[in-house]
Amino acid sequence: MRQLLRRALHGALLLSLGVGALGNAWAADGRLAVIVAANGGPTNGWSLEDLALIYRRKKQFVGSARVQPINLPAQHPLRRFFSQQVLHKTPEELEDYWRDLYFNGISPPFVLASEEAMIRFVASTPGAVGYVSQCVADKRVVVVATIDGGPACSK
Amino acid sequence: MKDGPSRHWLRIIGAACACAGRAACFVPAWLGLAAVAWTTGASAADAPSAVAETAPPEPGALHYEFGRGLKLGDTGFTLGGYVTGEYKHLDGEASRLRSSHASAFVWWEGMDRVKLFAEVDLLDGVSGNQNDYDEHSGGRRVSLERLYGDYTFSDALALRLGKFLTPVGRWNQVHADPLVWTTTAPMVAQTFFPRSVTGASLGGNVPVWGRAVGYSVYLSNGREWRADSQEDPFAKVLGGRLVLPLGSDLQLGISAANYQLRSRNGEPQQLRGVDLYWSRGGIEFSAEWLLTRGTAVAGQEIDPDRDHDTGPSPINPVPNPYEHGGPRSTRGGYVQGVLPLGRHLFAVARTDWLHDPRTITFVRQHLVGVTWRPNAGTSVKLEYMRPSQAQPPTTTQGIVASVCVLF
Repeated sequence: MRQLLRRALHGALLLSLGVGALGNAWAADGRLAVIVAANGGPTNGWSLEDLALIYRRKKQFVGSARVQPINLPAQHPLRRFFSQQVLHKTPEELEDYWRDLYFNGISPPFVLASEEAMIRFVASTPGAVGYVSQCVADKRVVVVATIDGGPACSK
Repeated sequence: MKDGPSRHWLRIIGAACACAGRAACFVPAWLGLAAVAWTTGASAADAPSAVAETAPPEPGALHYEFGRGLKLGDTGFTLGGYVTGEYKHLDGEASRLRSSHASAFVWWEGMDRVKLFAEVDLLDGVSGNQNDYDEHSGGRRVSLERLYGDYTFSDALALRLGKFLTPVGRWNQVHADPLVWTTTAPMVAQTFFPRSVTGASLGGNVPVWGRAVGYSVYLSNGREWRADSQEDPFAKVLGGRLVLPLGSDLQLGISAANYQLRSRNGEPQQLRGVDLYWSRGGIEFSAEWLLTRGTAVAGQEIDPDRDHDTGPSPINPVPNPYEHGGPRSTRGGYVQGVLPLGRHLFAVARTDWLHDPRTITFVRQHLVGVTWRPNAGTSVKLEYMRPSQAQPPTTTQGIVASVCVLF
């Protein structure tokens, strides 16, 4: 019963995120998938609001596990889509924010060069969370949320 | 390290760091580091994206990112700092060129819930005229800015022990030269309260309607670590700060503290403050308002050892408000706007004021300037300030410029 309820909630979350992203400025049919490790990473608690707090380093723990957000490079279409949909700012607009936090010993999320590098790192790092095109996500990772309307699939 | 040039820079940085271990080498080492960092940053500014980005750490590897520090592999250590060169041309004074700050900070995050942070600042390290002691800035000295340890129980609760920046207002939390838009700080950020506390604090971020409400509660019994000779440290303080995000671009801060200063024989004082910060698309608006109330006792307010505390500063034209007894209320604030003029160039305007009915009627200072931020770590600032008309003769006007490099 609990499993059924969890699946239902998960489905509702995916649906709500997908619907929420409709009508944005990205006139593409791609779907961004937020991923965590397939073995052991927490699979709930990944609302857009949570992701925003995590990627701003305001939320460090999901459950009792420390979370490590990972970004794609600032010019990557998925990064720009994710940044605007989740953080409501472009990577460039967040530079002042990160400059202030660096002064207080807080670094922005690490950056990996490609979606494949993202999947490999997330799959092998406890607590890591990243994002890729849903079409490239495979069984090494678990998709915990999706956002519709992003850049077309890169595969 | 993957690329040759970065390895070359790190060799230079390593030599500079080794040199920095000797006090005599501190200034040239830090200036050398700044030059290296600035060169790196200048080339970064030409890249399509000026966003500083760092790959996950690899064991044994060093990674330097301009404006984001040097990460020592997977040890959890990060080294950073900033330097500021400043030029002042004020009415009635000789022009002056100096290195106002050479700051180094290091932090360690080798464990999930533990973090250690330290910052040391060399003030007035290099001056255009070493024989010309500046009584207002205090001359060359080393200040322990911050030294603390954090233990994070959860996102909503972290314990901090040590010396940390006083959680009052927004400016004091991000007062480092490369982070602020102007070389001169508003009067309320300089005179109202000690810049740091040595004690304990509890703080964190509590999610409320999808946004993180930040809070901090702190206390100190006045055992200040290496107090800056230019500051009047807390003898005792209990305070708190709340930061309310009112949208993705807007935040409201509320600060309150009850305290005693070391120089005033246990005179209880209260501080209350509100600050606002809004930013979108390069446009920024910020404002702070602070009020302190206390009851001074005539003849007991001034620490006899603090003879520098008796006069106004040319940059900070505030007479000593504590030379008379009786109840007093001091209030002040600033309003500042930033407007982008180009991709990396910004116009800045600010009005700040201070009101102390016992010593001065009203001081108001206006500032206009431009700031060039070509990359994540460099700021070049030029500003002109002048007081309102009919100000006391202690106020001043003139041009101040600076170059700051965060590395």
